[in-house]
Amino acid sequence: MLQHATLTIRATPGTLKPRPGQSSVNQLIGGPETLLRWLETQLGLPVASNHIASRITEFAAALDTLPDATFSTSLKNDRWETASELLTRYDELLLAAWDLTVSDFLPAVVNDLAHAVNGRTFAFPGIATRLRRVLDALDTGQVLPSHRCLLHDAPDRWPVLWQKVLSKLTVVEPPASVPLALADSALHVAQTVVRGGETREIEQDSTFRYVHTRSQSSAVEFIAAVLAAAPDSLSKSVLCCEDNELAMRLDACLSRLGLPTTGALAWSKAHPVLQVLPLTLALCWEPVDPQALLDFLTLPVMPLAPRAAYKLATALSEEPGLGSSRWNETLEALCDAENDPDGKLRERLDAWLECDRAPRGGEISSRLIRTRCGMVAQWASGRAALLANEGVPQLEMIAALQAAAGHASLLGELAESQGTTLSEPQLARLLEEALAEGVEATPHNEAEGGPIRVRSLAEINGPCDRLIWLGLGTSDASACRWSASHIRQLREAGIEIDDGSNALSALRAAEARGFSLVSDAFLAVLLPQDLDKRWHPIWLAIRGLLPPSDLEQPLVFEDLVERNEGNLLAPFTFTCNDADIELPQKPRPLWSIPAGLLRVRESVSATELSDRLGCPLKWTLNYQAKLRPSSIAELPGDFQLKGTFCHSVLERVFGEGGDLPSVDEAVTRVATVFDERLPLDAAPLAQPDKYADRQRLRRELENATRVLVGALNSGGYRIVGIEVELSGHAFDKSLTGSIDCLAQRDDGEEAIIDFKYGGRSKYYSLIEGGKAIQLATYAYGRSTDGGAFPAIAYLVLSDGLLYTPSGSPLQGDNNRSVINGPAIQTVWQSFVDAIATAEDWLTSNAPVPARPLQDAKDWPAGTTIVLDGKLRPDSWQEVCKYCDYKRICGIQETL
Amino acid sequence: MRTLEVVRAGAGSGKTTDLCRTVADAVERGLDPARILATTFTKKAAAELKGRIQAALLTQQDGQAEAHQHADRLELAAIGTVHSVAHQLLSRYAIEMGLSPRLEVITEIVAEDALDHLLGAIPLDDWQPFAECAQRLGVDDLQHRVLALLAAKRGNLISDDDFATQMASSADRVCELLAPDGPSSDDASASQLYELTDRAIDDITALSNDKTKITSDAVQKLRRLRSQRLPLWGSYLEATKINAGRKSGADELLHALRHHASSVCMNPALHADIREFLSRLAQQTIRLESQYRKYKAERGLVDYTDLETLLLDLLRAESLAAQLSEDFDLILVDEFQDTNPLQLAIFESLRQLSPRSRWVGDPKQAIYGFRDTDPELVDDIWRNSKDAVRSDLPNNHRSQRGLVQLVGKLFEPIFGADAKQEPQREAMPRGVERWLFRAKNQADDAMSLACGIAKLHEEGIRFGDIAVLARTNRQLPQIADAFDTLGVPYLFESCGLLSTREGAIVLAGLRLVADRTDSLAAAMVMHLQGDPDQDTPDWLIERLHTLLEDQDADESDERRLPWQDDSRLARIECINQTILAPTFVTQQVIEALDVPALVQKWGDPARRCSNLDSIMQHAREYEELAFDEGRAATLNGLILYLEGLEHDEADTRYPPQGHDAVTLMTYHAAKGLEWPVVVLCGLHSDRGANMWIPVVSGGGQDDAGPLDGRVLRSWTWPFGETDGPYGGLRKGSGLDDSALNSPEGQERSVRENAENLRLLYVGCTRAKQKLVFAHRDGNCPWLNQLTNADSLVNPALDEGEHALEGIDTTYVLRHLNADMVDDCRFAAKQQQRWLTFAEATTPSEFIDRFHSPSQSGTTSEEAEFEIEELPGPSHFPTNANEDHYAAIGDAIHSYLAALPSIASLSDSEKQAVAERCLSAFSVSGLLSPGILVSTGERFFQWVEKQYPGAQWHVETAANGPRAAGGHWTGTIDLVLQLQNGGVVVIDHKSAPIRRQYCAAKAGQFAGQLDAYSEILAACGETIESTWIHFPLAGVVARYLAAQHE
Repeated sequence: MLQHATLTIRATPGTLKPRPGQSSVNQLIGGPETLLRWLETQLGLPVASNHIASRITEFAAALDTLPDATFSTSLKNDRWETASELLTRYDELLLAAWDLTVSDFLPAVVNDLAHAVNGRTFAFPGIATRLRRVLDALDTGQVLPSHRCLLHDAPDRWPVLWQKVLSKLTVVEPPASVPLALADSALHVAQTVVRGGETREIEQDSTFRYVHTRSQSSAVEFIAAVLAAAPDSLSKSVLCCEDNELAMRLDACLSRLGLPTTGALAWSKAHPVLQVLPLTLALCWEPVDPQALLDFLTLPVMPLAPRAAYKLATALSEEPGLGSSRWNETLEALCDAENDPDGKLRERLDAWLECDRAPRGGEISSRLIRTRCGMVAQWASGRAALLANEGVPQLEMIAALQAAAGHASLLGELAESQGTTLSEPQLARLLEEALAEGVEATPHNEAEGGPIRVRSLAEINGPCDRLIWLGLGTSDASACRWSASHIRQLREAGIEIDDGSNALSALRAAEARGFSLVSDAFLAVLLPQDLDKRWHPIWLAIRGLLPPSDLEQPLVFEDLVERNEGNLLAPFTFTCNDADIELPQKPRPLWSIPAGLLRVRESVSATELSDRLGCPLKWTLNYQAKLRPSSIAELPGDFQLKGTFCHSVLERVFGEGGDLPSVDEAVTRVATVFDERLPLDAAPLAQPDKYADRQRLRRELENATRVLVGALNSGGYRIVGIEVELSGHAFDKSLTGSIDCLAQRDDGEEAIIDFKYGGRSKYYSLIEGGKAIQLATYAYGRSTDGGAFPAIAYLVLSDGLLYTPSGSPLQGDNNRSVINGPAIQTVWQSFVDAIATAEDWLTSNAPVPARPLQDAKDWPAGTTIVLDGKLRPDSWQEVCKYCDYKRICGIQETL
Repeated sequence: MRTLEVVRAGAGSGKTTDLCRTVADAVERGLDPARILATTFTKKAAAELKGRIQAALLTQQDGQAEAHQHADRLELAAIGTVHSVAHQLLSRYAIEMGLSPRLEVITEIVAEDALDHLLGAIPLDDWQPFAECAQRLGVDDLQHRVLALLAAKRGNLISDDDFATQMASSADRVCELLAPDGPSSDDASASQLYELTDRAIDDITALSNDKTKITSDAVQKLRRLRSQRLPLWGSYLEATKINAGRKSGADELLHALRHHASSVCMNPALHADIREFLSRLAQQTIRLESQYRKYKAERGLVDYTDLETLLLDLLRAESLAAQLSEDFDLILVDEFQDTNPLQLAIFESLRQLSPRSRWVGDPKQAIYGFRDTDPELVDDIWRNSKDAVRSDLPNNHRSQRGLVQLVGKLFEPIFGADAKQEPQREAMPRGVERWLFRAKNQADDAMSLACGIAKLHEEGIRFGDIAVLARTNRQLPQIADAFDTLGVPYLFESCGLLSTREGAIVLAGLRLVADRTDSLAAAMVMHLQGDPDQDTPDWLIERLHTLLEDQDADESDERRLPWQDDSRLARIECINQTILAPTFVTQQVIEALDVPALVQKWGDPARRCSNLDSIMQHAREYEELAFDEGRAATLNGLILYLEGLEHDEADTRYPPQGHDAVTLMTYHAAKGLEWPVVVLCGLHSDRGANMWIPVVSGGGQDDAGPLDGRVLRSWTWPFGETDGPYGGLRKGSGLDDSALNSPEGQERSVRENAENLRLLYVGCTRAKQKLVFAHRDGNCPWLNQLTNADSLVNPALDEGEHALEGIDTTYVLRHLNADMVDDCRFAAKQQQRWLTFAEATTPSEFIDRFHSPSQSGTTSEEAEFEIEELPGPSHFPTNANEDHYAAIGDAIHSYLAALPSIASLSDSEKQAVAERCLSAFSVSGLLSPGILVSTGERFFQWVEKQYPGAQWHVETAANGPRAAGGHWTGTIDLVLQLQNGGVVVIDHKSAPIRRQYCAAKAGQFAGQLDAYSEILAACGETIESTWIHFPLAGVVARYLAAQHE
């Protein structure tokens, strides 16, 4: 016979899942929302779901009507948050049966609220309104079906309006909660004490174990081991873990071990799909932040074709700016007639990447924001629909896309509701609000036969054999938003506001009831971070009865493993074994690689030659094994960006070669190009907070231009070209590379100037020590056409220094720039000699050396041209400085 | 009556116990625990305090219900750091104060970033002359200076005008110290130095008779000077130090230069630079403050200083005083001695509002003078508070008797009788040791120290019971290195997380998830998992072979993924980065690469597991930082962030406490902690006063508030620092000596000295059983500031154990040196014990636990339905499209659910119910209430006729086991309980559909009906029939298959 509806209700909010393995019909269990929903369903009082943001928007409009209220300043400072806060207070007041009466004895803010909302009807109802509707429906003659409402918390612990509703129900006192553990067991004592029962010392036994772990990771491994060791108890075990992320880690571990998972889930704002909206909006501000653009283009899920996005991202990471030369070239190539015959790609790229933009620091049109949000919503829902029609729909991705579409629509509405324009911070606030919930991620399912995971003891709603409580600390309870004085005033006016006490008592009672449902065994696991939190009050009550020795010298999981004393935690046992410890990978100065595995290369560059001499292993890993890091798109660092940009400006000004302009004219041209190109080619420097930086860079480049033109003029040179391809052969291979600046005199004598943004000490030393092998290679390359070795120099742009060896026809600012160093022919010859004596490994089966790991005395003669024989212990060889393989060769230790 | 209780509580005297007792007694006398406000120094201390007070309350009335109520009420109390308490109070009163209630607290990192951005946006016309002036003075940390001054200004509520005036005074004072008689009247230009340098270079290089090294070096120095790589005024000092060969006359050629340079202190241009610099510094600081204020206001943000300032505003607001006074009946302040001036003003104000305040602290442990606190100011306020009830906690519950006595005697000359405590613990032998190192450098010191630790361990002391305290963080890595050499385990919050095998492999795994073509990452995974004993790792040969094969096969390099189809990477390939946040990807990578299992063979799994926690923490921090700064959080971003941390040596390994390992930390960090054995090192440190950082002092005199009369002094060192990691002030001007000898310098020295001694006291009082003074023999100036140190623990005695007169413990003297390494080295463990798991064969697929009947998805083509048409027409909502169907369905369902409740209502009342059902889902215009009422009526009548007297159960919750595995959970639209005990199940389908299609449509829901039947059967119900009801069509379809069953 079907029972009448049985509603088991407590004052603590939250829904409860049914108990697996149990059958029930017409039985509901939960909190106030469960009861209210049931009432509304039975009485035909449906409430469509709505986002809290809609209520806040509506409420804010009401507050706006009262310009001189207690909250007006606050509202002006932060309309959204103030309305949100006051709405919460308003809801609390209504639940306390406040009838909008204004009185001198009430707090001013309450009276102001009454004035603001009086006579208004809100489209989106709060709890109080819904309760009133229930009461009205019952008053008009609607009847509820026969039911029993087992109320865990006495009606007087509920808000007044609830009390009125409860009085209309058949309320029954639920049976008292009885501890299920064996009488006299430690667990039984603990279950008794948690709500004020008997107090006696808890002596740990097989029903109650308490253990510390020294890390979350080991705790997760430990719990998984305990669960794995008792497969029969798995489905009857409850895991209480407040921390969603930790529960997810446990699931990942269970999955690795082939065990059923708990379906732990978490909401995250960092879900890849959710990044589309903020990044789309970030592109609405001028100048466009290239980092935001890059992030957008590299999202794993996004509205643009991956190939196009990848190419644009690559262009951006080379020359960061929307509209840089690289960007435009890439765009043109992507959208040419062959690749994009119908122009659809171009249209899509334009739609997403080009839009009306507002200047940073100014206001943006709400309509524009709404349009952009609409695009995101349309894309997300369209993509979700497409995925839904696939053979095996990706349910999680579909749900995320749908959520993203919802967030975008909501933000669009919110933006328009705020007026015609928005500032950047205002938009950021609304965005934060729209995305606040994040998206649910459940990497592993809630599997049949797996342990049940609860976030709180209050979620345990049926008997279970074992409880593992992972993490015994908890965060602080929410503070009361009303002052004691306000609560008193309200109480005196007959309005009872809960300062949090009733809510806490209900919660603790529910937790205690949940705890009492454990029958066999309880394991309390303390995590390291619990020590930074307050004890969970239920644990605190239990803990107080543990003998001092258990608290001062608790069992520690890691020690138990070490000492093979896992049995002390029985029945929560686990198995261990001993394994040999493996040492870390050692530094290997010599690598046995058959020469036959090394392929012959057709060309050679200065860098390659230098690497091959300095560290043959590096050369092998790079040029032979082709071990390359992924091209994770990244904007160039500050130093690199400035260098590249300065190069490109000089190339634009002097790239055509020809006669040199006067110094002043050259500086003017450089400054003009600098200003034109900076927002396009070096957009990070065009951001508002880089004002000083870009001005400084401009001055540096102007200064360097003066030095460059001055030096060339005084030497009688004219520029042949900038970024001139290197020609010639060396070591039977063609030379590759490009010369930053090639200049020539009327007599045909050439000069090579290599631009460096910074590093004046380094380049000074290279010239001085006869180690400028890059310049030597370039110079040699130029000389193979039959000419003489050209003059060489480094131009250090940031300092406006032109370093050249003494005797060079190039002249900088005399005392600062001319360096005593060998001629470049000598440098090249030393380099050639060194290579000639150091490459037997390349052609024989001799081991491939990692020279920086070798003793300097084992280096072939001449290699000190690229290696420092007297390196300080805490320094790297030059060849190692930007080497990706330091952990592989072992020069960088991996512990 | 407002009571202030001032309690002096020495180390280990039971401050927390006192506070707990205070609360428990007050509660017993009727205090509402929710009306307590308590502040402590750290979140951890606050959590502990709250827990202990709650525990104390729970023991009242033998833990009965009332005690639990008190404990529950305490959860509502404001207990935390000053900042968290401020946040709680400000949130409550934000609206009355006209603030945004958001009060989003930004971390120091985010605040610094915001300030950096604001600084970067300062127009160059303002910044450039400032920067150039700074460059001449050798100030290369302008931003840092501005921020430090801003903090000092805000933290002491110094007005803009006062600030500018005090900065100008600082400039005047530095000039006065440089040249007591004022600058010279010569109008020498700054370029004169370079002109003289050029001349000297030319003259000396023209000498052909001098090839000496001294002259050659002199030319190098001159060139360096001329390169303008040194700050202008620092160059003057350098110029005075250049010497060349005398014999050749080269040195003589330097006279003019040296002469000019030596009068730098009186150079009027230098004086002008100092004044200009400090004036511009003041301007920029004031400007920045105003911009920062605006920035935060626009975003509803507050930083820590704002929290304090705003709280003070709140407490001083007359209009809110009455309200506030009702909030708290008891104010508790722990660690009062570490209160900053703003906090001091806060506590003073709170004291005026609450009936009882209790400030507990130990002036002897005030060690944060270098940060924001002013111990003198605190002490002054504390000592001179009017009407305060003063008491002491005289006992020491922490340390053994002998140590309490020893520390009392050591510090008696400094603190007087206050240094002495009443020991409460038993005496133990060998309570104090002195380790004398025979060493020549710091590395040897560290190694000697490590040998001492090894000896303690040999004598039976656990590593985990030992802490080594160093003076600065910079000293700790060297000690850690020495410990590594000996194999002494230690806990030390240090960088290097990504240098561990677990760190490196997780980072490589993340890179592979982001881009499976990353051959370097793949190689790194192979390398770390490979055999370390191989001469050449197999993976490299494999790779070269593969590439050669590809080349031979004329394939492009990109065609094959690195280590394609390799089982070692198979699980990494399954991670779907498109649906996971970066932190979740990190979790998955850890598992996919089996790192929690690898830790066993890598050794020390407990510590490696902590490292995995640290990786996760960095990943979380990345996401938080990204959101705080309004950026996207992506996997690529996380990878770059981790690499950035490694580059910046910020890839911290957070060590949890509790490992059996020696704790390494600074004296400052040890505050509030205790260990059985404490080794004090860094005793050679003898820090003088630094006169060149901003200092605020004064205030609180003669009944004035603590913030009244605060004066900032910001002296600028004008000559720059020398190069290198240990660079110091460039010498040669005499300015530093003048500063130190000035009245301000004298005062500062006294303060620094006092603070150093308090810091030493903190170190000495951390030990419970044994205290060790460890230092190089004869080099311990810091310890020697305790005038009786050598007489009490005599370093001249023979090695071994000695009695101590009047002290109930013995003294052990050891001589240690780095040569003892071989004797002290611990053998590395060969084997590691850790968890074993049965090998998971293949990833198991488990069925979901919960299943919804409505999504059972069964489309039974064989299901048979018997159609019965209800009277009246079929209805089709006008102008509705597919987008509306779900809402229409919801409206119809809610009305049908309400049918039993409205049975006795009039037609118009039913219409009203129908209308609200439709409007709730915004479909009023698509379907009339009348249609809803009529469809309800005909269905109601059909039920009455078909199942007379049946009891309706609408929207019935139903749960039960599922035969195919798992558990059904759902809601049945309608269950009719028949008089014969059987039940009928009816499910409403609201699709607008023609009657002839209803049978086919119903077939789609046979699975759902089967599920309901399964649940009801499991509950022991007899199912008479199951139906699909099409209300708009006016059809009921009886499921025949169910009947067959």
